[in-house]
Amino acid sequence: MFPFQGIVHTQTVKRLKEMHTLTEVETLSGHSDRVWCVSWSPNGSLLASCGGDKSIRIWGKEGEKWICKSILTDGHTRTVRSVSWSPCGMYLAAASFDATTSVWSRKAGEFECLATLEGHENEVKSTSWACTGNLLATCSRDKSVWIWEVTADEEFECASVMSTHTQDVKRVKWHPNKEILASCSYDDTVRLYREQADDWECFTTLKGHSSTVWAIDFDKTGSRLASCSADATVKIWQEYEPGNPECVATPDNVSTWKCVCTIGGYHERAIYDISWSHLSGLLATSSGDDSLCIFSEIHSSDSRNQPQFELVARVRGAHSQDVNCTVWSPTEEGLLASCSDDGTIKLWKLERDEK
Amino acid sequence: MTKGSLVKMKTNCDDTDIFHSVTMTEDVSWQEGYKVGLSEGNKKGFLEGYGLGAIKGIELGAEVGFYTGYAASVLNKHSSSESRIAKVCEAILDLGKDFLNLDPTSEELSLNLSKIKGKFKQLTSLLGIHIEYNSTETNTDKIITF
Repeated sequence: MFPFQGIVHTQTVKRLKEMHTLTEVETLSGHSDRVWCVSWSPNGSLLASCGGDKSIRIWGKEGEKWICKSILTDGHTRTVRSVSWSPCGMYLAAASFDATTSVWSRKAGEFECLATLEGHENEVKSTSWACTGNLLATCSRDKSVWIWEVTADEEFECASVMSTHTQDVKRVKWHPNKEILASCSYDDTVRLYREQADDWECFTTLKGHSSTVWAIDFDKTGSRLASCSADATVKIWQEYEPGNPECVATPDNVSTWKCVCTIGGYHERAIYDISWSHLSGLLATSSGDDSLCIFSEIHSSDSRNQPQFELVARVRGAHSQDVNCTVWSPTEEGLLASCSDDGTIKLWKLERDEK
Repeated sequence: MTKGSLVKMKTNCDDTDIFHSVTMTEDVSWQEGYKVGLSEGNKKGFLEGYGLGAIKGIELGAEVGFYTGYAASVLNKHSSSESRIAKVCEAILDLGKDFLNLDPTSEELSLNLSKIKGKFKQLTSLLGIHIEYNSTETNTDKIITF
């Protein structure tokens, strides 16, 4: 018996499974403590990382090698939990356990701290820039999600404070092309927010995971959301817009999001991060079991309402400790970055196996 | 023995059973005691509940009053040109008004309060000042932070 919904038993698949191999390309060392997060610049030329050593490192490729180009150390007094690039690649936001968010601007290759956003009561966990670059979202252990508006003169004004989560908020992520924000939390839920009548509101709550939801990521179109959790599963949520052909009810003319697939049985411990490639459509997950997994959607009769995913590659012991973050390169297909409690960042290349 | 059966007994035996009141003494006094105890308990419980409700009500009222009072004074001082600040102040005042009309046992109450708190945080952030509501008189546990 195969206990996991959404995964086809190998015997029922007629065609041969296309296996891939994830090969380590390079290990980047430099952080003196655990590395919490890595983030690709939008054009894929730079990689930002941050961690327990309170610093942010910027890595760039020179020749065939990735080297550390800058170290930003004076921004925070405690762990830097995550970093994210603005869509234009000119700004970098960093969330820190010192309760502040710093925004850095890149001018002539140099980074300078443009602003320090205060307001959260305690540890800031994550930041995300909206597709327009005009909005920045932050979330914190204080259970709140803040939306900041970037004004014309590079100032940050608080546009809303939303306290709908009942626990620590782990991650915020904007929709790839709409001003819709998603957040996930220790309260086991994912929440979606939109602007309504000049104010922001939570318009739907996605319940299904049985433990902390650590990360979320939209697919390229934004009509699907993947979430990963400490319950060791990944869930795929599908948007049903008003007037959808499936006749899924959409109260108040607001899209309904439903879980259409649960992928389980691969990771043995909490899944800390998930990345949905906009180039290949592959899902990468990283976990507390030190491994990385790559999932691919397989052709099925009803891929919208009953998508099916299969494991195409797996690296056990990808790092020697928890893999905190993994993210696909936005420009180079198959290039993946990961970072870990072991203090290293690794770059991986996914290649299809020769038959 | 229940009340119904007592009545039944009386009608059946009329006053002929002279031992009736003797045999029923325990039962009757138990019932009387129960009644007196219940009404006393009700009174005491009401007082206790009323007291607790009043304390909680004062706490909540003071907090909401602080936010709305603050918003009102900020709104007074700000010209309409700084529209976002004015809007947030108005939102706090509206939520404060709603708060008064809510059933204290309703879940809406805490939802409303968390909205007011969020708006207040936004206001202090927009004003660029650090101010927090601290209930210094009651519940000192609340202001211990880490």
